[in-house]
Amino acid sequence: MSCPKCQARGEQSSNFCSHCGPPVRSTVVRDQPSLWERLVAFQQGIRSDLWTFFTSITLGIVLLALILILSLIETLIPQAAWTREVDYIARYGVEGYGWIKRLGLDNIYGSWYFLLSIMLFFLNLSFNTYVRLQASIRWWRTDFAKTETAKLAALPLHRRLEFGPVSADPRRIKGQVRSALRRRFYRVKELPEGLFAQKWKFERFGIDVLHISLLAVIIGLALTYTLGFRTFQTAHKGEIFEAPQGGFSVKVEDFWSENYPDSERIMDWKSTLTILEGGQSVKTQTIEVNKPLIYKGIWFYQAAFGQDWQGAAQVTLRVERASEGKELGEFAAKVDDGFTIPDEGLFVAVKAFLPDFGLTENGIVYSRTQRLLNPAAYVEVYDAKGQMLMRTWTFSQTDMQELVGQLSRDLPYRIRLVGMKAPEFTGLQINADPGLPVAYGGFIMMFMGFLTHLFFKHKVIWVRLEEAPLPLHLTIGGMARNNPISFAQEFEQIVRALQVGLNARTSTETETETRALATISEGSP
Amino acid sequence: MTFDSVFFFYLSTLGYALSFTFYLLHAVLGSAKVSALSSAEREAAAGGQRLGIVAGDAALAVPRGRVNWGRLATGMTWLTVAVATVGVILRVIELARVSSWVLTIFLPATTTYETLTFFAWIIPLTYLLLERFYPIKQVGIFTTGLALVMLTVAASPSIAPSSVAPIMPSLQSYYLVIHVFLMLTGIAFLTTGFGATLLFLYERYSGREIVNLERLDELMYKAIAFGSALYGFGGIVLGGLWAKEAWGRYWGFDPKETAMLVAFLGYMIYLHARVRWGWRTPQVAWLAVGGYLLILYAWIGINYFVKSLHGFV
Repeated sequence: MSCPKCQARGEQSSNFCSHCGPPVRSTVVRDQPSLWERLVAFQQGIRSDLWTFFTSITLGIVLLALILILSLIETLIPQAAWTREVDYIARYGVEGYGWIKRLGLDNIYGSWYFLLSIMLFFLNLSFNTYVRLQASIRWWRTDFAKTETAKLAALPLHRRLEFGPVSADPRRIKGQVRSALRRRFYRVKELPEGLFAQKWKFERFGIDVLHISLLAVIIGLALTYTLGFRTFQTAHKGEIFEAPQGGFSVKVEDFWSENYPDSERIMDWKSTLTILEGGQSVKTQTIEVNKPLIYKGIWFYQAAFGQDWQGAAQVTLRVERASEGKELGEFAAKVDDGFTIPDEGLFVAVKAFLPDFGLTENGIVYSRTQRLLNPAAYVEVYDAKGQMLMRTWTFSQTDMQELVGQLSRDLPYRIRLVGMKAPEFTGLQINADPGLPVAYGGFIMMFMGFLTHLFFKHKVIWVRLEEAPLPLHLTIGGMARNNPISFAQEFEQIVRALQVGLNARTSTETETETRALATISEGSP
Repeated sequence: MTFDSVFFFYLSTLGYALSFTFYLLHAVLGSAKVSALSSAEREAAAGGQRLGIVAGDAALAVPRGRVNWGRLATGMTWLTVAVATVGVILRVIELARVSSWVLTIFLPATTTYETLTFFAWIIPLTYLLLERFYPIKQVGIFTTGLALVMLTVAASPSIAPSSVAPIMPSLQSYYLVIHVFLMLTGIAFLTTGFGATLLFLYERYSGREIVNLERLDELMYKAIAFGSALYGFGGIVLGGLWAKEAWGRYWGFDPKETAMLVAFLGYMIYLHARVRWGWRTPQVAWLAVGGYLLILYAWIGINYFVKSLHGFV
């Protein structure tokens, strides 16, 4: 189509010329368009530009690539959600951590650039889903029976079968062809000149359903992340805690671990929880890994199990006077508490305990893990007047303790960590997930979409039976929306079955043409 | 012989070595054979092959008295896959025995040894299924070769000890079977697709058309579409359902999850680029190569970079 004003040919949408600007109208174009007309044109131009932009597959590909790259970075840099600042500094140094924070690389999925690309992707996907759905509906409404049976010979996949005078009964032939096609799940329709058969027309919607399912999953995630919550609760035996947002509380009755029979390996962790509402027990259930308790839309999971080293550790320390090496005894105390040594008039305060001592580049002390790999306690020693005499880290590993000994030779007392214990705790993951039904709906649609797209293809077969010119002959042609090779196989099997069943012979004249493959061009994205 | 399954995997190592050799011989001697045919024969063969009616072997009918390496290779692979199937089933039984039958059929893919042997079973199997529709046996060199390498690595006790270990608590779920099975099967299809991609790129750049490019592209496309659908569905949907039960959310940006999504997105880019720019463009085929590298990253590479909730994989 060429523009009536500038005569430019080429890519033009139905109402807008990409070359000269004003809308393409069949009416006479005045030299001086009015302000209103210019506004209309401007608005149409913007609309058309936006439409072109958002329905572009190239944009979709670019956005996919962008999301891919950002996600790839996310897998390489630990995210703030599960990483402490000290771990970042230990790994990247102060300078590096500064940059990571500035660029938002520690929280990529919360960063503006990721949210922007996801939103653009969502828009692009919505627009393309709409466009493709329109094309699918058009496809669904197309009556393929009417399309050009006269041009059967022009189809890439077609054959001609000829019948001798003995077998030449058109009614019987039609019946046999019909049952041969029905055996292959075709729905057969009678036409005046022959037969029309097709199957699995609905499969055109498979990809549409798949796209819609993705939109649903994204919406579900957005709902969850804006309206839901997620917390972690550690609890000791008998503890009662308030459920967030729920208006009820939960009591941890008991928890334990089970081993495989005759083995040290853990088989399962379990906790028994009771829901309390207004002091009344409402529900009691034992949860285990993979089996949560669900109450009022809030889920309780068995998530962790272990010893509460950083919360409530108790340490045993051996104290000796440095000058003559006289041992004063072993004393036990909890963290944030202490013990007195009456003979010496001393008070030893245990300020901290770390199960796995580590130091960052800039000298911050932290626990690398929650396992008992390099336990350390921080103690302060006071005299009877409350004057602090010394403070030190103390270790249980010999090499670490020796290092401390060398660094602090002039301290009056030597203290060594000789024992430690901590109460066991159960770790519960608690969350509410309002986007769940939407996302699960998306999951079901995704399953159906994949299934439809992978295992079904719309296949169409036309059959024309003609007596003139003699001999009686049948032309069969077919096409599939996709999968040309497997359809060619099926088509050939059908033809062969007909040939044998009807005692026909194939004419050789058209055979050379059957080499090219049959596909239907779609004419839509 | 420590365990029965191990014995069967040793046997299949031998089998894959033979099928690999046969596929190789087929590729080397088979192409020479085509040029030896008269031009009329070649014409007929090409016509049949393009239509997909005649299997590749029948089209390139081997003269009497010469060994049909292609057919031998396919037969040998089927046999080896059958042997490996016995191995995998025995492994399931052994696994269930040490885990004292916790009412679940386990998927033998929890240790390095099991994963390798499982792949050495499923990759050739998916290839054979595809070969029935697309008899492009050059790809068989890649798939059986890979299975051979995997079994050889598995035979080393230091890399992959073959002892059976009970299943840890977090893995005791029906989802272990279905989620992991779909993902691994997806990877197996994608591996065949990757083999086809390599052949495609080789033909594209060397200019030698060993196999009809259009057919090769269809094999590539089919394997990848099928594989990425299984992979994506197994990861996003079934992984999500399991994660909801085990960790309380179906999506939590755990590095392994994200890496899975990255690989899936990579293949989605390939599939859409194929629509947008056409399959003949070599750059589009390179996208498929990129997709496979991302699969390898998500499957193996990621474990070396970050700590993830999927620490056991």
